[in-house]
Amino acid sequence: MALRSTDTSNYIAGYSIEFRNVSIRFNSFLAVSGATLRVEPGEFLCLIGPSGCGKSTLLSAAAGFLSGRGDAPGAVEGEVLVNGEPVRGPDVSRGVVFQSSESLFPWRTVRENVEFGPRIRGIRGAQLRTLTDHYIALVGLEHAADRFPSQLSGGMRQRVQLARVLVNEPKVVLMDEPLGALDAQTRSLMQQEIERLWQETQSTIIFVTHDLDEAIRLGDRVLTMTAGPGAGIKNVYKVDLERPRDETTPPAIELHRALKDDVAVEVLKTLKAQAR
Amino acid sequence: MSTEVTQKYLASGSAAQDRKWWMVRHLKSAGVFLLSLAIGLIAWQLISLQYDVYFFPSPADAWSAFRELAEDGTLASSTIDSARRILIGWGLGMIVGVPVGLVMGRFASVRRLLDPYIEFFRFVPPISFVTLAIIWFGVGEASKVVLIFYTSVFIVTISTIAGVMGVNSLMLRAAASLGAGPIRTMFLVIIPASVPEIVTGARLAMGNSFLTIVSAEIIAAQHGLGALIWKSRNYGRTEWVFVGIITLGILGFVFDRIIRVIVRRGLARYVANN
Repeated sequence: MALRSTDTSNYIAGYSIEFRNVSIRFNSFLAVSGATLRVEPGEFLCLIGPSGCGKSTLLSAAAGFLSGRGDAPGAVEGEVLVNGEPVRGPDVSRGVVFQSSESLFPWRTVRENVEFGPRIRGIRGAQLRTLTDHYIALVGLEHAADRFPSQLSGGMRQRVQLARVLVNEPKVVLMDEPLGALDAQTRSLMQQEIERLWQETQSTIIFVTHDLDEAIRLGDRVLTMTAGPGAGIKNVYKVDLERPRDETTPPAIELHRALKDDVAVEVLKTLKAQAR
Repeated sequence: MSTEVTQKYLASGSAAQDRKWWMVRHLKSAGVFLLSLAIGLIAWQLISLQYDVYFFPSPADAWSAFRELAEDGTLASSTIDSARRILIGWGLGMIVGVPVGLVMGRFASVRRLLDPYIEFFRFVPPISFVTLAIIWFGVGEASKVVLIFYTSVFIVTISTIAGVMGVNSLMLRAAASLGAGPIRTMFLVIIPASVPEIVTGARLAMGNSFLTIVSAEIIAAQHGLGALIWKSRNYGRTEWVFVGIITLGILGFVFDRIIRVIVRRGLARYVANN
């Protein structure tokens, strides 16, 4: 498999994502304050930071989940642009992988979960079969296609989530701690899978995680965030390491240390704020 | 029930072993059922020995009354009349209750609008509407069906609302970003996810219907199990009352079983996997 360059000028398939001075409020609570960020087309961007720092909130804004109404509270100020267009709501071009596999439809088999998007787009018959077979195979679940999510392991369920999103050929994939609930072994395997899928699909990815090594392993760039309320972007680190990456090499360790210091400072701030 | 379904989906061991395991389990539960029945009958017999037939008929008295009522066709026609009223009233309760519950569960504004009425009427027992039902709907079938409908509709509505409001918001978000609009979300996500609560509502409503059928038939029905029980009192035939009560109990049990079988056969994936 050809390694992709981290040179962003070559990316074509994915959409760019831009946050321009974005603030997000939940009623009177200011979750994110003045975040500005551009994610290049086809880039793999990792977002790290302490719990409750607004990582997921930023992701939700890009997904279009925060309309400020009914089921979707959270008022977004500033601009969130995908491919230059303002985000007005959820869209098939922006796939979302959640941390919890409770987002899968438990009454549908793996195949039926993956079929959900294509069926809505009116794809039927042999074409539907070919398409779903392809994506089920892509995540390595051929043998489990007719099983229900309750009969799968945590890692397999996350694969179903990936297939269900990728079958729609999204330009952007937003991942909210997708591997957060998995054991270390499965996690490492899934990191490889996600890297491979990203290289095959060329989509733009924003990947939220707590795990620094995971961020170093996957991200073209890694962003740290400041602690909330009023969270923002703290630092941006470019990860100039060849893929597949080895987190035990000196530059990776150095980056790990820098990220750890960033996060530690913010965690400390949160603790102090809570003590007050 | 869920274990059986799980058993079916998780093909564990060989098919022959599964069948054997299944048979052993069913024989066991049938044995316990028969034992429980025998204990009940013995207790009934012992109590009835203390009293005369007018006060407390024995199992034998009830059996001969059963044969008497069965032979002249009273029992069959009463059972059919009651069963028909229950099915129509309950069915209407489902047809109205489920959609209303879906809409109320989905739209907070509709919920707030209708909630006071639901919360008020669900505490007013159907028996208090017997007189009004007769004044408004006459002494015919309509008044009984309306009372059964009344006793079913609120519980179905409330259960459905609980189902809709309990749908995991992640599923709704996932559906939206997979391209589902509001209508598809309703039919492809919210309704399937609410099936367990809707089924619970249906079963509770069926129970309520049986509680109500006697009151509905007491006042103005010539036929039906409730009417049979009520008229038997006038004739001083306590053993007929026993037959009516036992038949109601069995009918209720059978109806509940039918619902469960339908759920297991047709809706298993919605109930077992949730």
